[in-house]
Amino acid sequence: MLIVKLLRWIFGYFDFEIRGKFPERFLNLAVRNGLNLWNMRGEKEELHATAKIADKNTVGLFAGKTESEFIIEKEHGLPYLCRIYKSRLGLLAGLIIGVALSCWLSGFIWNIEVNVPPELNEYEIRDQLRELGFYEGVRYDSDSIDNIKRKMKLNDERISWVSINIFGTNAVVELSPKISAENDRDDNKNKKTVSNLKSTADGTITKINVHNGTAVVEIGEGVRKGQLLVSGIMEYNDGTNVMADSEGTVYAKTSRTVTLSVPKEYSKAITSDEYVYKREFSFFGISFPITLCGNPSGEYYKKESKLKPTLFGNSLPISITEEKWQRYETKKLTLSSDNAKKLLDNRLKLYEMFMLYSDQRTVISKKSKFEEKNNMYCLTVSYEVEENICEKSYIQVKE
Amino acid sequence: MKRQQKRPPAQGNILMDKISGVYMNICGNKEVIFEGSRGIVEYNENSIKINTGKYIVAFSGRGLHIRCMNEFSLVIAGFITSIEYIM
Repeated sequence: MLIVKLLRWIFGYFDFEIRGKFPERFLNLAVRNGLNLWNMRGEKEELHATAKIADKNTVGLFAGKTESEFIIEKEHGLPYLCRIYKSRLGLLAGLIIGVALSCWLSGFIWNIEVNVPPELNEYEIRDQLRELGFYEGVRYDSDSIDNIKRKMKLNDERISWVSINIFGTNAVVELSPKISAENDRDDNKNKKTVSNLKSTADGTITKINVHNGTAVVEIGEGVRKGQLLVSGIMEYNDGTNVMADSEGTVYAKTSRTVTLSVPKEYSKAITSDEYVYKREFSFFGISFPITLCGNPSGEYYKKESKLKPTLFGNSLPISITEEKWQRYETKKLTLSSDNAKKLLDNRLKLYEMFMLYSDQRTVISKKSKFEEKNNMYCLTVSYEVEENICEKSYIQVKE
Repeated sequence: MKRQQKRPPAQGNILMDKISGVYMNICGNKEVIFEGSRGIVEYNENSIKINTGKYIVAFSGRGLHIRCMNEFSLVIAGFITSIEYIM
């Protein structure tokens, strides 16, 4: 029924009234001649009905034959609309321009959605895409998109795979990170490898525990950084050699000195309640400033926020960017000796927590010295530590 | 009447002449599908009379109207209170 209604609207139809003594005669004549009528309502000496616009003359002819009055009540449909707006050429031009503009604008990319894994930064990727000529407002070209994908993989070593999917005027960029060489090495751990154990620091050996390989140092012996501790080549009494992946721990007494310093005078930024707001309206990739002020001169922090409306889950090519500039003043302050001590102690605690203390390291003694020199407060701490100084050194073996 | 001259004789006409019968499908008192019409004699919202050749079938009621029709059949809708055969 909907299709029938649509076809009737396209070809046009009209409501009419037949007034006369015998409207039934008109009906009989019309149906005998195959005239298609609908919505027929009969009243006393009146008949209301609807017919196709093309049958208007025939209806008039039959009305004349049956000596009835023929009155057109209303016309409907596309031909009627065309006739009404025939003289309004601007409307037709607007319609044509609108359709043409819509077709032309649909060839551009108006929204770019970047889905990045946690290893990569979305803003970096967006900058890279912009440098390669892929940004909001660029004309869609499948060849250039293939080039962009290829260049992105070449330029950024972290990316192993890029995909740019176009959905209408929206582009969705999907990325996959490259697996690093260290991970590869982890994967190769299970394979048979040959390695030595080398020293990571200068010290005196206190304990040796070798699981695999041959120890080449003894307890009480002094070693230098980088010196061989455990060899991966094991020699048997019969003169044959076996290559192995060395494993074990070699503990040594080592000493290390840490110097932490803070300047006596430092500058601090103190923010004020003075704000300057700048707003920008972006429409189809073209930006228009809403506020008329320029960038404020002086010392200001800038915060930027972007408002992007969406419709049915799709981002619209419209955005409002707000820049909030907050004024600050830089003041020079002098650090007192007590405050400097507290500050340096806190820093030292952080250093010890993250750099010094571990399962394979024990602090034997600690000496600290606080002094003031060259407008700086310095805290020098000397540690005597017993630690595992082994580091694996892989040997490449060609078969 | 060029239109009438061009039109070939309808197949239904020959068929209706042969059977010359009336067939009515009455759905409650709201709708009647009528076949075997030879023309409408009277048409208003209270009464519709249809000529079948041998007799006239008269439908009485309220808000009666012809929903659609062709040369030999039509659909009458409305609140039908009586159907009468006039010989």
